[in-house]
Amino acid sequence: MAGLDIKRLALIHSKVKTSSGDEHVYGTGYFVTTELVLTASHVLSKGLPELIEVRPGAHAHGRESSWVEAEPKPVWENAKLDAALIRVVQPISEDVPLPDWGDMDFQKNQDWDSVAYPDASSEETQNGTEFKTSGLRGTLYAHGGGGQGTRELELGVEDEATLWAGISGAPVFVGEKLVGIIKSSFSSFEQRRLAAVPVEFLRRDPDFRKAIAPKWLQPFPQKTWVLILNQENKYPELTDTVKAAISNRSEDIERTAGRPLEDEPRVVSVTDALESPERLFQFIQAICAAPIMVFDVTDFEPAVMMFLGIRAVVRRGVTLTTTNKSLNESLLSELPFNIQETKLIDLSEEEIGSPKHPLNWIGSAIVKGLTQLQSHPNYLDLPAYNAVRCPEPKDFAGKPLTKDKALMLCSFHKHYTEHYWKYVANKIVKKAAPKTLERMLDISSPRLVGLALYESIRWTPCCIIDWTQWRPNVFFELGVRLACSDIGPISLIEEGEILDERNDIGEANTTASAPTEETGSKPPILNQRHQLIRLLAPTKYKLQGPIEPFDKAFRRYDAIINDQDVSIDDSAIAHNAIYRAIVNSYFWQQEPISRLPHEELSANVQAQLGKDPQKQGRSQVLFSSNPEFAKELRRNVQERWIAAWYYLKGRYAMEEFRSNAELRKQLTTLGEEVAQWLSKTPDYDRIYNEIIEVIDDLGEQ
Amino acid sequence: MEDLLQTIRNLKTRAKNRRDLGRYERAVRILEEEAIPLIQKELSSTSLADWRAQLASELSDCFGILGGLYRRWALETETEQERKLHLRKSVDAYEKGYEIEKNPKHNIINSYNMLNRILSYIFLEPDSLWDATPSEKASYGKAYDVRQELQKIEAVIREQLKEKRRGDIWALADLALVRLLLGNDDPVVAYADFNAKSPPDFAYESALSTLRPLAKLRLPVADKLSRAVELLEEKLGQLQGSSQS
Repeated sequence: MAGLDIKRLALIHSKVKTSSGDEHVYGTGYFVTTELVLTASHVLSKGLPELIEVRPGAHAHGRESSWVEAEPKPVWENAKLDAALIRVVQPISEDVPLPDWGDMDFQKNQDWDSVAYPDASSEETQNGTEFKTSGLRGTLYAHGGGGQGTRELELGVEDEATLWAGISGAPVFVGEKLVGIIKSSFSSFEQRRLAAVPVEFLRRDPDFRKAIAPKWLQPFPQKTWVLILNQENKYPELTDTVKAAISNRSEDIERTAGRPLEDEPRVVSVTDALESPERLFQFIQAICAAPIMVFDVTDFEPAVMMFLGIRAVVRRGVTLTTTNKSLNESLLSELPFNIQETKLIDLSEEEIGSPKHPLNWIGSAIVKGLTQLQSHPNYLDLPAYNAVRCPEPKDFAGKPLTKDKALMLCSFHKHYTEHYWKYVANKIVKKAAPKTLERMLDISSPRLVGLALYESIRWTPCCIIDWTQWRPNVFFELGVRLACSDIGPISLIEEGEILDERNDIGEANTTASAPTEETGSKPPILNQRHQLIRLLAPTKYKLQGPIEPFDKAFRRYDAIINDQDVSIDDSAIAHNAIYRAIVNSYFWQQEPISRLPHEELSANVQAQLGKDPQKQGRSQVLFSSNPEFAKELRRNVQERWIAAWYYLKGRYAMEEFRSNAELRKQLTTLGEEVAQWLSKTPDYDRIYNEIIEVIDDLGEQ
Repeated sequence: MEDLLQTIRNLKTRAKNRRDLGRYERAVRILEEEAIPLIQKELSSTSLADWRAQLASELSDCFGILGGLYRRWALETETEQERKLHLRKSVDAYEKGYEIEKNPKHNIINSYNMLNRILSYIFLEPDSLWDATPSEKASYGKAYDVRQELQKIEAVIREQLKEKRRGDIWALADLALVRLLLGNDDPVVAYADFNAKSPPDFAYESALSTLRPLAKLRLPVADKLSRAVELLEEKLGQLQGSSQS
């Protein structure tokens, strides 16, 4: 891999209009892909610039390159780090492999070099300003740039102190590796020291990695689309089955969802999703975006369960779980408890006319799911969604209950309980003290176990997850934690169990491949285990071994909660990377709080009473035949409608309703609804008449 | 799908509001020129059984509202000619709704149009309630054996109430009215199940909007109908907490 490539150097110019005229900012950048230029974010103007343009350093056929326009909004920016990626409208023609990214943990000082466009090198000519490149080199101080605040790279410069303006954003190379980008100069040290942003920090940001990664699964369709997650032991007919099922019901699906259906599902193998951090983040984005998702959970593979846990937190969409094992009573009773509440679709049914044939079942489940999603605001097909949205549990004095606890998520298998639990618990209570260790069984809340568990998973800062035995429940819970907490879990695994497909009791591990009947040969180890370990880097401990691994894991946790730097391998992800990836991909429009007050009030009433209560003859509200309750119910529904009406009417001036057709339609439609609810109640005559007057005034007679 | 259903619901609400304001002409136009053609167009373009059933249910509901509109309009009209014209249109609209309602393909379990077509006919031909033989000089193109129809309707509603419309206030109100018209029950008994459901005020208003004018007709059960009006008005007054009773 080549080091600094002068052809990839870029001069960046951004122009922004200010009250005192146009302001021009110049800086340096470096093409990291054919269309993305890495630079310092302060090179871009503070407000939305009128123009950003980039001049690649390459001299095409001996001629000077020309300015290329860039998108005014960076594709990625981190103002705290002072770094940004901007996209040029026209990619450069040069072959641009990704840089060889370097880390920042140097044991000794290093030589560094760079090339930039300092103002000092620019010359005024008859044709205007000519910008010249200048080489820079010096010593990267291995132990500099630390201390308080965000870690930086400290660069000593060999050259004379000069006017450094213009060099911001220049790449810093140590040997072949890109280790940072210059962001500022120190006013001390005779201005012969520069500060650079370590690229390792950028690499820890999921959005940065997504931005520079080759696009995978994207762009997502604007239509209604289906995302399928195949397990590693792939059931080869799943995709065709889903495709045929949605094709059979395409018209229903389109009508229910209110938009066209994408015929081709996006199909992902779980091992592809775990191939790299970039792939993982893009898959997380897809999980957030997919209106319909199908998980093959036949073998309850750990990564499939982890992704199911993530989906359960992020999306109130339609999620189907399938299995190609016949669903008999014995299998149903052994299902992981998180799965027991879900409706598993049996792919093994062969009677084509049966409603339970997967072709019929999947199509029907999707249509029903989409219908109910629209009619029931609280529609759910997976556990956890509501529980993780509960407010933080507190005691009567307002003190958070979870802060004094360490939540332990682990196997409840007899073998684990007998052989691991005492040892692990013993070590953890020593390291977590004074926190008390709590497993699901120990949660003292009187609430339903599932609710209390997921609530704790979200709110307990110190959450320990023992992967030992690769249990499906544990990986579902891992997914939930990764998705809903900004503090990653302390992941542990017993080193003998890392890749062992059989546990010590000789029982086939639920997540290992099934042995082949013909040969009885040992099944291959699931590749996803290696991938999960590489990406999430659990701490390995040895049963009956020393306490050091636990010590290391808790030191790391302490560093995390104290906002200290925690180094990670480039092939692993940061402790909270999945949470951060979700924050920026989250389909927040599904949250009730994103609705306007009148929409929320209306949705609230309709959720209770149905959308056409006069048509239906049975009250949707339980026990509403109690006369007093019925009376109060009616009254409060009317009051909610009145509140919705006054909010919307008072929110805008009548003139705005008159001049804006969309607003007018909203108000008159709402008014009609409210009037219908008030028209028979004499107490509301005044308000009723007022509504009719407004509707008449707006032209609806 | 949901958007279209919402549009239909909005149109129905607009029509009902115009009806309540006495703006019958406008209400009729909303249904006849907007809601009904919209549903019919969609029905003609789809072959999906579930969706067709849902649309059919909305269409029969629209015809029912239209039938009710014409009836109220008729009862407020001053000239006899117009009264009869609107009542015929009312029966027509209910008949159309009933044709849809009784089509087993649509799986609509209701008695709305089935009963109301007969009620509008009674307004048109009050004597028909005790005449076993349909009048040859009927004001409507078709003559009904009203008592026989009411007996059939009672049986149908009773069957519906067993399971599919169990506890349905509209079914209970319809059954009570049929029993009253047939002279089989006293008002308190007839409306006992309906009242036990603590129906909302719009259900009382709806029942009263039919009972009040029926009670004014020269019917053999006029006395029972008047007492039923008093009973339901009292209940409505209690519900609204006002001095209506």
